[in-house]
Amino acid sequence: MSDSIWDDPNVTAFILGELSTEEAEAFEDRIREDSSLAEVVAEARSVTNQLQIMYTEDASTTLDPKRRDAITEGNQTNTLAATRKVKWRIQLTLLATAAALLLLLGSPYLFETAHTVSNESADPFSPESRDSEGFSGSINAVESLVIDSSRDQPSGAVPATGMSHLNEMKSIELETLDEFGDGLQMDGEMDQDDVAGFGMGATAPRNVAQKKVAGDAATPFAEAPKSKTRFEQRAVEDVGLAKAAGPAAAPTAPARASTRARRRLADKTEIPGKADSLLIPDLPFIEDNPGDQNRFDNVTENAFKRVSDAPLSTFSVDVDTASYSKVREYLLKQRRLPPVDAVRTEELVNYFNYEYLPPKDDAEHPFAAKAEIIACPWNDDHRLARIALKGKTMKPKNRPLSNLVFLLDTSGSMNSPNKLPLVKAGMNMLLSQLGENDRVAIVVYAGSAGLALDSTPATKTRKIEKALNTLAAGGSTNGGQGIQLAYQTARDNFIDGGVNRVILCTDGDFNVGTTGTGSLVRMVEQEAAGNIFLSVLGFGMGNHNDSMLEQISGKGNGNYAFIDSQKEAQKVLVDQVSGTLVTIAKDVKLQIEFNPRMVSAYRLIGYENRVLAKEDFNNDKKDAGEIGAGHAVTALYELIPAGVQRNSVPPKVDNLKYQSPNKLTDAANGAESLTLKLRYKQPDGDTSQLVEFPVIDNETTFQDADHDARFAAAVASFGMQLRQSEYSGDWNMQNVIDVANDAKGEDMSGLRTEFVEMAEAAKRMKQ
Amino acid sequence: MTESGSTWPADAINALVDRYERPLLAYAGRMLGGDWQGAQDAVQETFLRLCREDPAKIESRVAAWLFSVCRTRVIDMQRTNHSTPFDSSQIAVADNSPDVSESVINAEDRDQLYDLVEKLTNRQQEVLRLRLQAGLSYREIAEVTGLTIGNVGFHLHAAVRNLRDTLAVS
Repeated sequence: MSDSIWDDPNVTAFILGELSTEEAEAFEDRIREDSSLAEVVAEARSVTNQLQIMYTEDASTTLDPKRRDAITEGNQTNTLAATRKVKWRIQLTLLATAAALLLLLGSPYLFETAHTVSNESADPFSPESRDSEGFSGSINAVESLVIDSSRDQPSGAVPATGMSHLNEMKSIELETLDEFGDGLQMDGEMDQDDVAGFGMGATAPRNVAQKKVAGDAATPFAEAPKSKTRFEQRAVEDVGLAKAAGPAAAPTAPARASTRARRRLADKTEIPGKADSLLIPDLPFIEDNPGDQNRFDNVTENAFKRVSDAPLSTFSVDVDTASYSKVREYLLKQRRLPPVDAVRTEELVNYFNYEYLPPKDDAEHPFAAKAEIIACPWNDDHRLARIALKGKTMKPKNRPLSNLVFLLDTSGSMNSPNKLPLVKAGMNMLLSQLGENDRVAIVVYAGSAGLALDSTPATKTRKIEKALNTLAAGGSTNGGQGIQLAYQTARDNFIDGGVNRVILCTDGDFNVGTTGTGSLVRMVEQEAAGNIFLSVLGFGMGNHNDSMLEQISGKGNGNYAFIDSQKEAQKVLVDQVSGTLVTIAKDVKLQIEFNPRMVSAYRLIGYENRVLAKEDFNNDKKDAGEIGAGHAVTALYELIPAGVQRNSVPPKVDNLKYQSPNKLTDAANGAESLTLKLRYKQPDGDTSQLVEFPVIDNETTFQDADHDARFAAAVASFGMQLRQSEYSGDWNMQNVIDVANDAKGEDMSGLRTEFVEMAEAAKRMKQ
Repeated sequence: MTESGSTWPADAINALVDRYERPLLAYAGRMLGGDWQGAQDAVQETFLRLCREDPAKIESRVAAWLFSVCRTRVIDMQRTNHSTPFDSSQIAVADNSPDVSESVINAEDRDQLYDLVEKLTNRQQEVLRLRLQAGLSYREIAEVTGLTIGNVGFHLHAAVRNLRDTLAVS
């Protein structure tokens, strides 16, 4: 019955007199024309009337007399205190005004200096890029120079900290900020201001505004005058910037480079003062060191999707952790921010051990799945859904027999201490976990492929040691033959019902000669269908074809980890050896259906290259990720509840002419926010099984969520910020640090503390 | 700044207390799960803070300000004091409720309605109370709760719809 009418909040708004005069008149017209609407309004009115009476009668108690007196006295004593406070407020107002003015006035000066710096750094880049260099260099150098030159500011108000002054001011004097509000807010009007010498004014408030994206922080109590939402605002800015960037020659204020270019540039220019390490924007390579030829797939972040347009979200699980190790390597060893595309947020979140309960031994499925919804800490209006899977654990003695072939890259590039020696150490660690009925073989590839060690029982340590020791790096890489030999060796020693796996250890470009990645992938797929799986262990940073390695490990039903230290080798090859070796569920896919009554839009955080088409969910031929024994998988969705931000995610398509919008079913009326569906196959099976359950939002706040949930959220935010995501809301690195510290738990492995270190390093580098 | 602009004249404070003490107490009381003493504390503190504020700054939106402050206070109290068992014997305040015969709806209906309201989500209950008991506008409710105005309208309407659904059935 007239359900769609009952879905319109304007009914109640009309009754309560909250509509504007025009809107109310229009609504009255509609009531006259539509009798079912009139009925609905009448019913709603009856309910509100009853409620009104109930509430009025309910509010009958008053303050008791003693408290009443206390208030009157309190008012009298406050008179004196008030006068003093007022004078203090005047001073702060003046201070803030001075700070802002100095900031704006000082910017042209700052630009001159910055520009000189960047031009002197004679980079061998094309002339066009020189201009954009000028931009990037200036932006960054300006930010660093601000910190330096600010010391010379006479008033003592440091512009960089002047901003934080303003932040403090906000809590004291809302009205004062109103004066600056218009100047500092990020909105379309900035475009005109941008081109003249107010670039700094533009850049700095970006930091301010970025931290408080939800709503206008400067004027929290004013009605948001802009009907544009946050997302639309950014589109306007980008357009405005593109225009400004065109004619801008170096001396005029550098407008912000386009978001994408700035992302790339910022990767390199985050190091304060290092204005000479600039690069050509918009190239997929990050070429600051000639030797750094890492290749990362360009990833476009998942955007918010409307539930009415796309009620289903489908993706494949991922237990890879390579991205985390890489990011750690960049931050803690190389002391620089990682390239944006090296950051796969889901791999960061999944790196950690969470206290998920594994399934019981007699459970129907080989993993346990649960989901919960908590508050989204970086956006007050949003919620965060956390999906957690945990594979069943396996005691070493229960582990099936293993037939392992190590496929080692022994090309010349493997010579450094963080490569071949680490490979050897890692293998030794793994061997210590294996028993006499497990077998290992070693195949090497460099120049020509060779069987360094035929398949040998794992306990024959001396023989294996000898083979390992004769391994020496040399020659160039030709992986194609090597991998064929490796699979052959594995096939020759196949153990039925056991773990048959090729473990590829490489530092980089798995050169397969002229045949190309495609045929390699196909081979891996075929062998996996024949139950010989492939895992990839990455070592060293130099020549890493990250995307290809991730791809083939996925097709090979194995995981991809990056070993950057002994500790990581320990984690992957000892602590999680069962997970690394034993797959307990393969082709694991998730599909979430959202209830449009509860959720209006959603965003999957990470998993960009794991997204599947909705039809793929039920298609068993479609490959997906694996879960190893004891592995945990976490996926996070940011949800925009129904009713929040009416047009935060505007429809991309016009309304249909011949069909009307979706009708809701009865199921939508309940409290369920979403239903989670999972498909998986047994490791040696071909047909998938389905697991399904609904999830209800219990309105848990962020503080009340368990520490694993909070820690995971902190890691997700960390990833988003490193990716300079537009969705990172109003959190900064300090928030990440605070929450991670608070949610560390026991942290026996020390890995969470290490994460906090990484976040602190990132925070310093971003400044 | 002159003195008169920075403090509240005594009769202004009295007027405000008269006008807002009941809805504030009811609001705080419900949010504290029936802890009426706690509600008295919270509301008293709210008004004391009001005295310390510059009237010029908040005159135009006193209601929203009062409920915001009260709400924050109540939330803080809830954090530190997790379970306050509701003890009706502690209500030592004068009962100014209207005479039973003056009630416009009879007791049974009222109780039923009350029970139904209790079943709504916390959000919806709060928004209902702020609108129908405190008389705040959508915009003021948005200020107090931190929701957007659209969201406020949505929750209010959802509450009305849910109540109508259950009332229609019974």
